[in-house]
Formats: sequence, C-alpha cells, structure tokens
Amino acid sequence: MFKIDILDVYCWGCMRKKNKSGWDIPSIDIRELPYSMESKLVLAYLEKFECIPVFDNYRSNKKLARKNQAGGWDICEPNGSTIFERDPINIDSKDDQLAFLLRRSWHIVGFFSFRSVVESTMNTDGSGFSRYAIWGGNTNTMVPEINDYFWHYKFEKDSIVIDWGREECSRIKFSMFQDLHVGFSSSGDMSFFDIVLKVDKPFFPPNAEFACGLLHEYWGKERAFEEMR
Amino acid sequence: MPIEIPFLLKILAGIQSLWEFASKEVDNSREKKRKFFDDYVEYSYKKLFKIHKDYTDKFIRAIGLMEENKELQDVVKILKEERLCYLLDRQEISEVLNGFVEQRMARTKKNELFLLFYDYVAAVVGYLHAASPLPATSWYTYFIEQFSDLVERGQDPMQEDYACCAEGSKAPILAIEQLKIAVHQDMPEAFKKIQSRYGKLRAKCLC
Repeated sequence: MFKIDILDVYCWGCMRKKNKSGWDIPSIDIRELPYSMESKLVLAYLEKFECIPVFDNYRSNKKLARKNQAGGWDICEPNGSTIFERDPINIDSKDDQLAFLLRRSWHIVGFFSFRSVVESTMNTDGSGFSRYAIWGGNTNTMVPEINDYFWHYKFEKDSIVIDWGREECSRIKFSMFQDLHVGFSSSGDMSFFDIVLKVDKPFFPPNAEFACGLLHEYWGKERAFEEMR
Repeated sequence: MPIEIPFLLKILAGIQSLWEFASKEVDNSREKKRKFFDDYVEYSYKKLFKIHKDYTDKFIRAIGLMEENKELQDVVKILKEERLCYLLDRQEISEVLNGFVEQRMARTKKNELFLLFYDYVAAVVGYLHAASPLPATSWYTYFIEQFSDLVERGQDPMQEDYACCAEGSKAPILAIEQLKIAVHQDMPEAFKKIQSRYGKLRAKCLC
C-alpha cells in the first residue's frame, strides 16, 4: 500500500480558540471513549502523552482520561500539569531559538482549498529547504505540483537571513514560543507541534507568487534524528 | 472509441527508465538523453496532442448539438465515452505514479532531468482531469444515464426534471456550461502547461 511520508495537514489549523469541549486541541466526548480504543486520535495521544483530553458534553467540562490496568479509563480533572493546559511560553534565548529552529521541521498548517504541503527545514551546516506542494484535486492518486527551494541561511539577532543564490537574499524577522498544536494528515494520522514560529514572511523567495497568501506562522514538529544534518 | 492508453504506458516506461538514470551511474550522455526524449516524451506528447484535438472537437460538437437540441444520440455517444481521468485509476498506472511522487517528495536535491520529467508528468495528469469536465462521478453517471435514456425513448432531455441532480431541470445547462469551461478554459490552459514543460524537456535533452 502506497503511503506518502509527508505531513499534509489540514485540520485544527483554524482551531485556535477553545470550542464547546473547553479544549483548544482535538478531544473526545467521554461517552465515545469505550468505542475509540483503536482510533488514531486516541492511540496517538496515548503514545505521546499517556493521557487524552476528553470532555463531558452534558456539563461542558473538560477532563483527562488515562488508561488503567484493567483496560478501562480513569477520568480525572485537569490540574494544570499537562502540556494540554499550558499557556504559550515565549522563547527568547538565542541558543534555544537556534536549537529549536534546527531540531524541528516547520509547517504551515490550516485548511487549504486543495491538499497542500508547506514546509521548511534548516540544517546545522547552514543549508535550508522549503517546499510548497499542491494537489489539484481531492484524490491521493493525483500528482502534486511541487516547488522546492534549497538555500543557505544565517541566524542574526531576531532574523534569519536567507541566501537564495544568484545574489538574492531575504531577511525574515521571527519570534518563537512553545504552544501545543495538533494536526491531521489526509490519511488521518495525527501530528503534534510543540513550537510556534511567527515570521514576517514565509520561507520562500520574494518572487514566489504562491507564497503571497500564506499564513505567517509555522508550527514546529520534532524532526527524526536521521533527517538532521 | 477505445480509451487512449498507450501514451500513458509510454510515460510509465519513461518513469522507470528515469529511475535508471537516477539510481545507477549509467551513461548520462547526450545520446542517452536524446533517446529518452524520443522514446518517452516525444511519443507521449504527440499522442496527447492528438487526444487534445479529438476531445476539443468532440466537446465543441456536443455543446453545439445540445444547444440546438438535435442529434442527441451523438451527444450521448460523446458523453458516455470513458473519461480520461479514469486512466489514472488503473492499478499499474497509479502504482508507478505513486512511486514517482514518493521519490519526488523525498527532501533531497534531484537532477534536472528528473525534475523536468516529473513536472511534465504532473502536467499530463492535470490535463487528464481537465479533459474530464463534468462534475463528480455520481452526478455524471446519473446524468448521462437519464439523458441517454430520454434520448432513446424519443423524449426531450433538455426539458426534463433531473430529480437526482441537485440542479434538477437545470442539469443539462450545467453540463453545457461545464463542457464550455473545459473546452475554452481548462483544457487549453492544461495543455499549455504540457507544452511549456515539453519545451523545457526538449531543450534539456536535445540542446
């Protein structure tokens, strides 16, 4: 079975405000828990955080569910200790910023009119990569249009200076903070993003027309060790 | 008319051949590139050119006949032809295309011939969709069935209430509109993209 190893995230990008569940990340109605043991959402939360954000729809209360040894669920009140409840934390230290820039892959996440991938990575050797891929229709067999850029960067104060080659450069101002976001790929796989990177323009050359309407916010996802260089 | 498939098989063979270019240290000489171009690009491009002309002519004829409400048996014949986008559903084709996409999606630098051929294939796939103009399969199937049934029974399909189409009696008008958009906008644009990418490949392989 063919599987694209990419993150074409559409969902939850727009879910930045708390909804009826009280959570600002995907959560499960407490009544559905017994039937959701194998759902990708439940499995992904358990694997990553060992607990699941749930809500009691009758009382509009948010809760946390943990699996117990008997194979059932323990439901408890959130007490502020989980990552789901944390307020955003600014990342000001240059060292931390640089470390996060290198150790995360950066994605623009949201509902696109067509299935799309917008991502960037930066490497320790000063090289970087950006991709904008778009499928012209809602089908997995379609061949996407792909725009790849390979570039070099310098990290300066509150900016990343990108050398696109041919003497063309961009200075991208940025700020960074820790905040958990969750995205889904078109195949229903979940991804967790723990860092938000706000930029004054996306990581694309100035003449890239497709970049004009893109959000100025990337979400960072931990890179696999073998991907880093 | 049997649906045109050989040109797509040629493209698949081109993809497989390209993998040899990319994966092995084969002779990447001008002669090799010329042969690649002649065998896979030129052949498929010529076929597509013919398909484009045939489909454009047929759709224009269908639009005209529907608007004049005459010779509707010919319209049925045109609309009932298998849609070009269905070619992509054939297993061997979708497997090779998917593999090609997967390879392209790897976050590594690729050689220029690979990138140009990928862009050419993407344009061809885009064209096949553009040349399959009527809306989603369920709408299409239902509309064509009812349309042809009415023609067969000698009733006027342009005056029928198509109960299963959301547009009801406006369904034939929608069909005409979609065909017009395909003929005058989507197909020429998609084919222009093929031409431009064909030109780049040609320059890469022959110059």
